[in-house]
Amino acid sequence: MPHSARFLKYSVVTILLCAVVLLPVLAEAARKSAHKGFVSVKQRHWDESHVRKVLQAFAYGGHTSDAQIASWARMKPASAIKQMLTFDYVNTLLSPTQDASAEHAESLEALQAFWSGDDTRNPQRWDKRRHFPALSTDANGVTSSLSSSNLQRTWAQALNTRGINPFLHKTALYLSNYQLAISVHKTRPSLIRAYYDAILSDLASGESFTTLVSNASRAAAVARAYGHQYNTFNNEKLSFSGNDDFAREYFQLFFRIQGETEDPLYHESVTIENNAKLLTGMNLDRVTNAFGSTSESDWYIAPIDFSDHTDETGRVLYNFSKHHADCLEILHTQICGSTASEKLKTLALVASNHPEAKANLPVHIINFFADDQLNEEKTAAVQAGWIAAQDDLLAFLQAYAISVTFHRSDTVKFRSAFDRNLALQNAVVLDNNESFNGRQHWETARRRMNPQGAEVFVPAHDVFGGQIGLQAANNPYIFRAAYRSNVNEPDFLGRSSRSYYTDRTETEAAVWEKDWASRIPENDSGKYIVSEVADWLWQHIVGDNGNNFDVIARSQVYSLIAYGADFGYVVSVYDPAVSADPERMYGSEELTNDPALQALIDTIANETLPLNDTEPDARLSANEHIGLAVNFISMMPYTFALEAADSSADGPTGNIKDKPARKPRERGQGRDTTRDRSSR
Amino acid sequence: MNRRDFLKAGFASAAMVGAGLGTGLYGRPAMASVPVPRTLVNVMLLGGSDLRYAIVPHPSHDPVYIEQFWTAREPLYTENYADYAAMYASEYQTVQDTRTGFEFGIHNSCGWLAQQFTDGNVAIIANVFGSLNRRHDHSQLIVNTGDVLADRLIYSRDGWGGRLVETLGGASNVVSISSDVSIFCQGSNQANRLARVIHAQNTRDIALPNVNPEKSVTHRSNILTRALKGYYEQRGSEVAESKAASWPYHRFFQHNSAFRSFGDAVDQRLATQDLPAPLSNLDLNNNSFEQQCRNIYDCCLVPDILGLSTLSMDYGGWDTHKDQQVRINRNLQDIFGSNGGLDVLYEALAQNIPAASDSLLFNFASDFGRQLAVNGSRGTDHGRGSYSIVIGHAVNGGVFGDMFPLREALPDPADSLGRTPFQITGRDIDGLTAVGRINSALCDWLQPGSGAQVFPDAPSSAVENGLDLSQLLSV
Repeated sequence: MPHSARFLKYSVVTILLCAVVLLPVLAEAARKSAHKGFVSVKQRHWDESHVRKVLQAFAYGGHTSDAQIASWARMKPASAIKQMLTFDYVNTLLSPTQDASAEHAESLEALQAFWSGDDTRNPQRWDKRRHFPALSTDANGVTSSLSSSNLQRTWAQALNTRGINPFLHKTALYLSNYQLAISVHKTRPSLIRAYYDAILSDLASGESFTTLVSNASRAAAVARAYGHQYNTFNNEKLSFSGNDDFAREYFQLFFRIQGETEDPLYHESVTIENNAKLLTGMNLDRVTNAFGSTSESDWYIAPIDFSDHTDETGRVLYNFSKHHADCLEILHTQICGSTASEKLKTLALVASNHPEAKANLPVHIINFFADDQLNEEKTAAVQAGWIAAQDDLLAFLQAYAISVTFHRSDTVKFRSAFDRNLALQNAVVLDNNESFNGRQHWETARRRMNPQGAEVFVPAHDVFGGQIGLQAANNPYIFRAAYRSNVNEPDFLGRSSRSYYTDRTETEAAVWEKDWASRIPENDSGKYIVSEVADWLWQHIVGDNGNNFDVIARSQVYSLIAYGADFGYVVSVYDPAVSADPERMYGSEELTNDPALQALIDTIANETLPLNDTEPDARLSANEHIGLAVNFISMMPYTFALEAADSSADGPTGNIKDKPARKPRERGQGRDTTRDRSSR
Repeated sequence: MNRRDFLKAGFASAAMVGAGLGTGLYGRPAMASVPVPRTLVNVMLLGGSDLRYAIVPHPSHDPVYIEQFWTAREPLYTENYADYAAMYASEYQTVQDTRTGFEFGIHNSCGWLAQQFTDGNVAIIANVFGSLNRRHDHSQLIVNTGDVLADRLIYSRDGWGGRLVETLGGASNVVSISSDVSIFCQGSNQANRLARVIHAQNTRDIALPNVNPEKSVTHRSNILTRALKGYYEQRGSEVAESKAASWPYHRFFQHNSAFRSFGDAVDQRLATQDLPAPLSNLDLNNNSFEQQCRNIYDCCLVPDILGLSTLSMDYGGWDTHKDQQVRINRNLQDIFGSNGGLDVLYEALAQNIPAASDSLLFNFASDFGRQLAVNGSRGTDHGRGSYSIVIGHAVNGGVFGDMFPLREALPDPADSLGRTPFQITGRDIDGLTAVGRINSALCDWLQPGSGAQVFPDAPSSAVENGLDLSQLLSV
């Protein structure tokens, strides 16, 4: 055998052997790294930055500790994500329980009742409670109609309360305000609250996604919002009376079926028109003085009773006999059932299996949570993941959250005003005591979100959903509104103390004080060095491993933390030879190469912040300085969008050294916390 | 001088006299030294407007048509009228196309529009379509981009307003004066689609914070202002060069530099120019549109600073599936009514910046039209075809196309039951003329030849038989 032939034979045998031996190994490796249809980030790449990105994208940052983040980073991604993202009402690892609020986490209705009531365990400051009940209440306790503002405030409070699961509520926001969106203006607060709470319940109880959407499509709030509440079908004359509004949007919005993959005429004239006939017999009951309201517009109640019956007010509702009795052809399928409810249950199963639904729903979901730059490759992965999840939204989101489809350098999520403001608030409000006692009733994230176009239960685009991240990013006025808020209201994110009364008689005074030392770790010498505090703060708020913490930002953050002043002012005071003008601006090159400026930055960076000082005034001042730095950092461009960590990179990236999480000082340890600061 | 020219001359003369009076009502007269260039104002009626309600046939129109029309649409009207003529007499005023003598009705809520039509400043183009589907989001995307084939999932793309200002070149910008920056405004530069967009949501409150000299140098707001201003200005110029175009944070630096570059200048100019009282006191149903009308006026005071050529406005609330009349009357009154937004605006311009009213050209677009027949909720469901309305002194006013096609009232040969389109659920106005043809003509008015750049497919797009749009606008 010639040498070349032997070599060829040897090579073929070797390749075949390798194939026999290696292919199963490779397949097993692929199986292990795959999770519900997605390829997972390898454990060696999974680190704190990945954990933080997941928390930012899916849970408004969460309420967890640095130690817990470090713990999740050490776990296998598939194990960690099962702890991080759950639809439980209470997820104590993601949002540790701090008071009795968690016992009422199952609904906004329960939270409104608890936070506005007189339960002795209600953590809400007594003078704020009247801003949370379902009914609007004036200063004299007189009630009238249902309050949209109180409902919105309750939602915003829930998202900032330890013990309540922010991932569950973000998902419920997506469903109720984006995919299945309706507006409180068309439903009144009672119906939309019931709608939202039912979605919470369906998520928490593990209902399939199809069942959840089906339930939503049968909701009283939806029938009232779209107006098919009054749609009827005369089964004798075979005549329909009503509109086809929801008949169309049921497909387009609830299931993302545009009718593009089939004859458009069929979709218009058969599917939509027959769905309009299906949506008959869905009138709502009314109850006099429902919810205690004197306003008749509040008296509609949920759920819909699909039988013929007389409601509490004496109205006769023909929800059975004025429903289209026969089967209807929709999406090429006969949809049967004696009531709209029965037919909608059947139709949901058909719709959710429609190719357009399978293709479009997961893309819409991931657009909302995590990625505004889905390309063809990522879209295909997301669609495959949706199929693999088999109608399990939680499994889909968990698998995506640890996937290389999410954790790659070209993933960008522009943040809506919901995303940005809620995450900022969660980052800087350190515990429930601050949330309930340290802040006024208007100081929820709602104060910032609403003027920036993100109003819960009032979707910016009505049934087309709330503000999306790309719209927020493209709107200069949202940027400007955020900028002005930070400059003009520095206390909103940076307040360091507040005095208040603990009872209605206004005799017992108390003081809440900010305690950043409870979160920021001391260094090994027990000190808070300015540059170290700055790194921690940047990571805590921005979470980019310092990738964008450039020298200009550092000069400002160091100065604000060390002296409570901007860098330009510090230069003008400490080194007027460089410039005596506080408005003088400094660029990177100058800050890096000018010896005088370099020396000054080094000096500032190495200052010690008296965050754990025994002297209360020194501590208070240190907390105020951090408050200014928080205002600066939170207005950085890097809080308006989220870049995912690259899952292909080994080890930490960026400018912030990866250090093991140190335990912050225990609250109150080594200092006096009882001093009344009401005079400040 | 024909009647139209005479009316226009009279309008301008009256405006000049008004400007000379300098009445207290209109406050300090505006600076006249800054000429207002030709400016296209694109008004998006969000939700799909039923302009068939605003424009109806005269009772003397073809009786077959009137009978079908009235049967199909009578439930829209909340009053119980004996017949079509009674309804018409109560709800509409008759106007006449002076070129053809054709008479039709414009709803009483559109008093200013009717007057403008009579004055020859309004063109109504019938049987127009933008989108061929009936979905709001996709249709808005198509209308804003001017691309019938626009992919519904892609919002990061150019709009026709953005393409227009790129074609115009120079310092030309799209100025969005609504609360949103729509896709209409976006340019073709993928790295910075807002490169030629100015957002002037409130022209009297447009700048970013500056150091307040009345406060201490160590006041917290001054500290934060200096820190942020310094950061954005210094770092912004660095990242513009050093970071890749795909870097997601560019746009926030761009927002900063845009506000800094024109915000202070606008503030400074407008500080010496009062908003006329009728405009500042304007009280419409829609607060956003009210503000947008004020913004137009102000834009005419600072056209040089803004690079004015194209304005973007919107008005929401046209998705009138139920109880249409109440809602649509409010909308129409706000925009087209006597003492409505545009009426008050034009009057203020005529008094203070008379040349500006000659320079503005309004184009009204919407997602789609609505169905011919009323639904069971006293509203109308989604359709496709509609009317285009163009208003301005440059317009050769009149009706373009068949305003009320008789085919809508005749048995449809394709219908097995022999029904007319008015009787068939789901039927809408047949879209015969692509809106791109009209938009292209508007672009050419701004700059000859630009239409072909912005709408390259317009010459081959659909057009109603016999329709000649070449005379839509005077040169």
